[in-house]
Amino acid sequence: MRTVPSPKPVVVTSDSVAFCLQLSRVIESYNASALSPTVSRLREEGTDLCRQGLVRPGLIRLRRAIVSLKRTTP
Amino acid sequence: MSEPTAFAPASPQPGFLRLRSVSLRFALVYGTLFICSAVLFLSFIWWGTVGLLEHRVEQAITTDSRALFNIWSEGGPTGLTMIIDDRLEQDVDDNALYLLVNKDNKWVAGNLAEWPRQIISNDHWFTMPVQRSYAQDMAKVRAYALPDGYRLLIGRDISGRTLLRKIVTDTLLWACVMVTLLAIGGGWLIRRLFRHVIHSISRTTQAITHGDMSRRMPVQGSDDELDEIAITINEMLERISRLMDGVRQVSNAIAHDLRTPITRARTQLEDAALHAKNEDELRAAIEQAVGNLDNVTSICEALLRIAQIESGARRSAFVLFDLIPALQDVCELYEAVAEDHGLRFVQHLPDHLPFFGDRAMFQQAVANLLDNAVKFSPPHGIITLSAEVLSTARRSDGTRGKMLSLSVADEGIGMSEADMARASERFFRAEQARNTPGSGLGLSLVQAIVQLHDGQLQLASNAPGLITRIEIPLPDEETVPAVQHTTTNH
Amino acid sequence: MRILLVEDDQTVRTFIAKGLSESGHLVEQAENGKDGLSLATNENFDIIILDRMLPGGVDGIHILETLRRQGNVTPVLLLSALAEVDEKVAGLKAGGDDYVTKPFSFNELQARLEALVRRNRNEAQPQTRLMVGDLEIDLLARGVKRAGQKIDLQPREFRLLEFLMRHAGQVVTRTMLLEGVWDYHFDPQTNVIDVHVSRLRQKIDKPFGRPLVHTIRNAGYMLQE
Repeated sequence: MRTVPSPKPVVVTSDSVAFCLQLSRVIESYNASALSPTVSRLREEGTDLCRQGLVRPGLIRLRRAIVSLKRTTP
Repeated sequence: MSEPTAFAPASPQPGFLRLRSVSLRFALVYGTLFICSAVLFLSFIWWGTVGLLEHRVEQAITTDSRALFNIWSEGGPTGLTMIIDDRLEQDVDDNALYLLVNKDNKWVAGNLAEWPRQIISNDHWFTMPVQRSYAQDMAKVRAYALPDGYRLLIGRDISGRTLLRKIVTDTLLWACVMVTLLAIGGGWLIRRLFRHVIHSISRTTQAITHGDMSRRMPVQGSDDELDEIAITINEMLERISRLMDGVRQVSNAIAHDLRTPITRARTQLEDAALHAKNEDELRAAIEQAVGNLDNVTSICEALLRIAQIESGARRSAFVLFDLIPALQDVCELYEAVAEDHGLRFVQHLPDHLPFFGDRAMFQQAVANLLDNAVKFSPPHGIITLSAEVLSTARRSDGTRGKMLSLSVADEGIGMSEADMARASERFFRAEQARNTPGSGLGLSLVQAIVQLHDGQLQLASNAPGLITRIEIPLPDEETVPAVQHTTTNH
Repeated sequence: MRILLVEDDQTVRTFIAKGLSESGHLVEQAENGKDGLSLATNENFDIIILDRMLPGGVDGIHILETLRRQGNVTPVLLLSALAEVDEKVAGLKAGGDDYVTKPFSFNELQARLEALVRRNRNEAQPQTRLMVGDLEIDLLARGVKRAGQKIDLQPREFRLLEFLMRHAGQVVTRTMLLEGVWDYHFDPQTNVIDVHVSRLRQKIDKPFGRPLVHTIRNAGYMLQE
């Protein structure tokens, strides 16, 4: 294992509002009417947090929503 | 602690850090051992937590890479892109890092903005910083080469683990510090305990060295090892002072009793030199002097013999033999003497009596007793020698077992109670016996021989006369397989 | 007799040499172990008197062992101030024939010397019958006769008489009797030996008028016609 000191760290692009919205859109792409109340609530909360600038907690909620969607829909 | 002064370099007292001090070495060994075992123990904890976490991350990345290779071989770059997107969408832990680039090093999929410049080789582990929205984190990554010049970077944000690792490491470091302090403290305590014990021993022995023979080690009564040492040392001192008393007593006795025949011889010679009128007188005086000097020699020999017996060296000559023929042998020697003195000599002896000891010496002891009996008996007296086995007698060490009881009784002048108590002292001669011949060492020799055989010598009144009784423990049958008869003198 | 005397103490050496010369012996003297050893190996002696402790690194035991290793069987009498029984045993084990502790009387030494030389001569032919004058003993049948008359003796008396007969014409000291007849190596304080000898006399001398056992003043006894 090597540790290379670098003055310029690589930017993680998934830590962004844009990615937030992208995830939100992914959830929307599923049949919206079929969304369970939990998933919709997670999506709303996540999108709101992202918009307020709290990207990380927002992302976590959106990802949870997606995980539970994937589990319920084939 | 006082500093050692330059004037007293040999003084054993000062010097807190004398490396040659046993107690310090003891403490150091204790401390070192304590720290070593603690460090070993903490290292195990460190590897069990931090090491395991790192290993888990590497394992997760490797597994992930295999799954992604399979996807690539089925769906190519498009399939891989979809899967990467999927993974990122479902990354609840928020620590996955992926980057797929084409042969022009252009971004194809993943959540890293660009290929990190420092990752130049594939299939190696790298730890590099990544810029998150909230902070700069550390990530563990590995690059894989794919066909058509594509390259895949898989990584995990390990900041959470780094934190845990820091906590664990800090804890262990603190533990190390605490352990060191404990070791030093414990070592110091042990050193003090040790010094306390050693000093108490050395104080006592020093006092004794300086002549205070009455000093003894303090015994706590706790029955531990320290008490054991103290008791052993005290016993040793006890024996030393007894021996010293013996030496003092002997030298006093020598000064007194040995001087007498020497003085006589000297006087006789000087008197003859000054006053002898003819050769016959001169010869007579010289012969008397020689007789007195022979007496000195026999005293010296007896003393040496007692000393030799008391040293216990003759114990190696012990054998198992039948006591009766040995006793009869001595009796035969004295029967004639008794008869000659007009005495009756009666013997009460069993047929056999297996005995473990030194045959010649035991004969000498009995001979000495008979000698005394003959010497102190009035005409027509009776001398009785009897030997018997007491089957369950109480021995001096408290156990019960077989004992030999041998006694010589006469009807002579006897001894007063006070004289009996002192009879076996070297050179002791009861007042009434002053004028009988002898060195005054006969009973001492008997006493020494009896003690060599673990027995006891007792004197009792025979009214009139004296009974001298020897009691010696006999070997138990079980410990002695067969009686070995030593050859007699015939 | 030609006698070699190895002794470092001048007083003792002169004393012994003088006494032995007066008795008609030829005495060679050596005052240290080295001279003693070279004399003992290069010349022939009838007997050697050897002090156990000698100066100069070559002590009595060493000389004795060297002689015996060379096959020299000259009788050796050891002289020593070491009186312990173990010391005696060590000296005899090294090849010594007898052991006399210092201080000693000259009579004792001379008696033992003569006994040694005699023993050495007699060992050639084992005897079954000993005779002195009209007294004779049969060692096999254990019978004693004087002037043809049978005498009954106790076993110990027989051994005493045998010892005296074997040393007939020589002085036998009390210590020699105690060691030779009773095998005791200590010194009884009463005169036990005298008592036993006097009992023997009662049986072998008294009925026959002419005594054979003689008391030698300051020395011991002698059986002689």
